[in-house]
Amino acid sequence: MQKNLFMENIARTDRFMSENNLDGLVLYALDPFRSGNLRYLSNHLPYAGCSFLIIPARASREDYSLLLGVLGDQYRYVAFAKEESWVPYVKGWRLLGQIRNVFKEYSLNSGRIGVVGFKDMPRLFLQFFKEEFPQSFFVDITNPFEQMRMVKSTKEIGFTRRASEIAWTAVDTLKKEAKVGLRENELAAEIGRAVRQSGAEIRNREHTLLRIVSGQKTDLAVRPLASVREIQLGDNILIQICPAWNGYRAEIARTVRVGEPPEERAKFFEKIYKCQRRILSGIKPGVKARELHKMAQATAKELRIADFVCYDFGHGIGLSVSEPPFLDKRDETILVPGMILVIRVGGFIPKEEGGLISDTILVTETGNEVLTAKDHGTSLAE
Amino acid sequence: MERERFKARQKKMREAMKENGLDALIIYAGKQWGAHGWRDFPIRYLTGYDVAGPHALLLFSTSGESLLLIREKWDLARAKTVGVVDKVTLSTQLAERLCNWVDEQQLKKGKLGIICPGSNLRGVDLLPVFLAEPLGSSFKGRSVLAQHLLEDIMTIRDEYEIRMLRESAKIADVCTEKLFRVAKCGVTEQDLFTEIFYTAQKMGAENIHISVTTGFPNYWNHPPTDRALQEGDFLMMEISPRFEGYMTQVVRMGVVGDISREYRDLFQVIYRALNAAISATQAGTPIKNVFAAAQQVVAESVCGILDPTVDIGHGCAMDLNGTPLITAQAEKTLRQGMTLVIHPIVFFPYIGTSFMLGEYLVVQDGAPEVITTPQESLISII
Repeated sequence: MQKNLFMENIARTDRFMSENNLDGLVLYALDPFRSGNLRYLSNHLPYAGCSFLIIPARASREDYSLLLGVLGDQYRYVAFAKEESWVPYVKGWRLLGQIRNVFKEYSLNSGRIGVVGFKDMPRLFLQFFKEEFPQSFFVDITNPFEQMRMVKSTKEIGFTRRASEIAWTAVDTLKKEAKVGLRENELAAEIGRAVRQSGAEIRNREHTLLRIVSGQKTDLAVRPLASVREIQLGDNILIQICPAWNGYRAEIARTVRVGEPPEERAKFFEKIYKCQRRILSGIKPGVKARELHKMAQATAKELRIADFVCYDFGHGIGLSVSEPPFLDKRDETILVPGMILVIRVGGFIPKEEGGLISDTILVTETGNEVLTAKDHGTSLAE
Repeated sequence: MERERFKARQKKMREAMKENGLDALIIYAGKQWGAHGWRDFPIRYLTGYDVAGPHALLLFSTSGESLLLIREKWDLARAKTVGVVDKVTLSTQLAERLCNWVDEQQLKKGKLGIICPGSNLRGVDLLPVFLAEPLGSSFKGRSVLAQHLLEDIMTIRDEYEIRMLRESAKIADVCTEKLFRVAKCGVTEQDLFTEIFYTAQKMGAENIHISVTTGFPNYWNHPPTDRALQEGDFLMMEISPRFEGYMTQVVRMGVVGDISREYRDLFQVIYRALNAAISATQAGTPIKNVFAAAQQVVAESVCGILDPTVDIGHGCAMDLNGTPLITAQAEKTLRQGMTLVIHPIVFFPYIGTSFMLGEYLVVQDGAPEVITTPQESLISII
């Protein structure tokens, strides 16, 4: 991995540390789906335990230290981590001792240290930091760091475009392959292979977050696991997938029907679709995330689906599956060009009907661009 | 029947709580990948609910009532249907809800057990800060780690579990066949992953964990990369399909091109080491004797090294890297009904390459039952 690919991110982080008066930055990550902050600066994705990245203020490019493992039993993975990441100093043995050494080397044993991933970190580590470095002041800097990453660069947008194309491959494959008698898991296998062959990032295990559920009355939300249920005529099939390309993810969700649905089911889905379109029409620079949330709620109420909506209306997306801004009543973030959002509407009436749609949206100078749109997904599978 | 199985497990858990003087128990789990596999298994094992989100809590109260806390509104209906638990509650503020529960239980000064998967470290608090800090403020009693209580219950597999493991083993065998059918010069590690994942999913696997290494000399198994197989490469792959939550594991070896007599001889070292360990595996045997059996074969070979700090196998079922660990220092003895993968890794310094081979077995009173189809010779990949 060439570090020059990361120069832009490093420069941004340098400024961030200076603006926040940080003497050092510690990034913690464990779960590969939520490790975007760490990857942003290292290209490393944890795969067998947690990882820390430690950076002193005004770091030279050789000062980045990546430490792997839960209390240091991951030394076996150092060779691969070195190959995958551009970070020059990678250690995987006696983790706490290594952290102690790096802090000493970078003179971080006093001063203001920002911690990214603070709340997800096992308390053990927080206790260690506080006890070991009593002169240092550790602050949770996760939100400001993620906000710094909200506006994507041209390169990042390009990666998301590619991920969006791959996401669309999943829907295309579903339409092509879904047929009466095929099992959900067989359909998932076809889709999974198609997206991987299209370039979706591959790790040790399922990495695309593919979820599929089928049913006559799709009153179930999208399950985490495909079942062995056979697809039947009249089924709704819900698909949600979030593949990555070069680490950057795009999400798409569609509801596809097998055969003609009953009229009332089609009507319910039309409302879901209409609600999403209405939210999309409000996405433009200058709008606040909380205003979008308010608008989404009002639209759902107007369309009489508010009681049945069971997904959040959306959030940012990038190196992590879910990033700021959030369509939430408390999020004051003002949208600016370059932000990438997932806009999602999904719900179900218990034991009757359900539907889900989501797309990946780029905020542009004049409004927005739907990166995953080709159609809204109610077309029939044969 | 399904419900009775989970109720029986919970009953055992409550009995263990009583024996250990615990007033209540907090089990943290989530759809995350941790140091030793998926971190969802404690809740899935005890309730049948496969956690969909990154964070969930299962709480056992002083009266023995079980409460499942999840954050995903879209999965609430399924959690209520699938989860065998007294109560399921939706809460986006898990920490706040947890503290309220502590208050409701009047637990201020009791003894609280904590189970947090993802580490084989004992006596270490791995609860994330966002839960641990508020809990520490509201609970002033004594908290103890209770991971071992769950491990003791889980370690001996019942008939149902063995049946699921046999299904997983069948998938592992078919995946092995597929591996050596598709592997050839020019095929990348990621291509291999794609085809094997496809095969496993078609057979009903809900997920699969694959780590691989190719090349000569090689290094530790890692997530598949875009490296293409070349003439003379060693290929080693660890395959762990997950079926209904249960995982087996095999490790397979091949060489691209013709196999020299020297390599055949070296393979015999790892093969004999594995079989010596398997032969030593029976109920009542100290675990360290299993390690010693493999070590003796390797020592006699003169040319290989078995690293005494690395385990040569481990428990494996719902937790991928579970207990017991087969190490030189292990203190416990094997018990009938334990299921293990045994996979010694032998390093041959003079060629700079490691050989690793693994089979999955059920511990019996006499000879163990190996339920994967053993690899008996080095495979030549043409």
